[in-house]
Amino acid sequence: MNWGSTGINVPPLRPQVRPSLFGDNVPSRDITTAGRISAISPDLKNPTVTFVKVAGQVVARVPFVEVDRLGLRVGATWSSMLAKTCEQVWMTYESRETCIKLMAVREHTSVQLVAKLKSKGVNHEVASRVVEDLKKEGVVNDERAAEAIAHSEGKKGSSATKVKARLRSAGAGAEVALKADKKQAKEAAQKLVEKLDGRLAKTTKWRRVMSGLARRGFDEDTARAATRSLLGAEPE
Amino acid sequence: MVRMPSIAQLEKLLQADPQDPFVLYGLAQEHAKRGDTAQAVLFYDRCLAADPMYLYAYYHKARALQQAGRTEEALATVKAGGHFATRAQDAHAARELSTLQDELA
Repeated sequence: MNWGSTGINVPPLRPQVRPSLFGDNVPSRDITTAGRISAISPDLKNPTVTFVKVAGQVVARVPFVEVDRLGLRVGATWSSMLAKTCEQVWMTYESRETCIKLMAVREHTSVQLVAKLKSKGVNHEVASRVVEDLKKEGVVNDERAAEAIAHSEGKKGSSATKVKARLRSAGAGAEVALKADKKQAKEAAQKLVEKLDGRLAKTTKWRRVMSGLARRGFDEDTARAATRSLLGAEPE
Repeated sequence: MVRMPSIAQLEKLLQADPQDPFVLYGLAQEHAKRGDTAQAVLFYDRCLAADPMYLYAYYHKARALQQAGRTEEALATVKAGGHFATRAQDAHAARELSTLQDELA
């Protein structure tokens, strides 16, 4: 059909413009966009976080406490170097927050936390540094985490072999794992002693606790130590 | 055959009292766990000979026999266990054994 012949003036087709997330006139979301910082405003959802803006566009997020140290102020030059520094600071902050959230749910070993951060895309160096700092502050404690794992597995009735495997996969060191194993053996022995008929001879009690611990996968020395701690010296 | 540490430990404990039903039952369970039905049944029998009222042993012996396809023997074990459970007035054990008997029948 020839529209021209009808005499109607049809406007030429224009490409459809979709507004972007940051408005129509944002040329790029490159965080290294050079220029001067136009605003430093708090994140209303999280006051500990501050947005850094250049030409009204958010170019970085940094923890509020780092603003001064990084020399961030309105009018300061926004360089690619500063952008990179802010990105690293943010990654460290986010990693730390992630660790604290995970620790609030349950104890984690440092190996578990580093693995978790790496799975979220944090590089090994940053992940290790963050976890090391949390260890120094006492937030992360491998020994405590190993004990928590052993206790929780013990409650589920897992064998010592399974607990050892869990501790190994959680990255608990040999010494830490051994300590947790001894504690778990004592808890298991306690449960066994509670079930024993009090009228049984000491020798029988010893043998029954020892066999119960053997069946739960504790080695002889660990079982003997746990039994001794509850029933006293081994009968002749 | 490679002996598992727990079996070796239990055998050592058994030497102190070869008639301890608790240790005999433990050994039976360990063998059953490793799929060695013949040895498991042997120790269940020794356990029941030492203490016919060890009701768990009837149940687990029957289970081991059932898994080995020896249903008739499993049924006989369950029936014997049910008899002792009634005698001991252990309602819980009697119920468990009765359920297993229905399953086997």
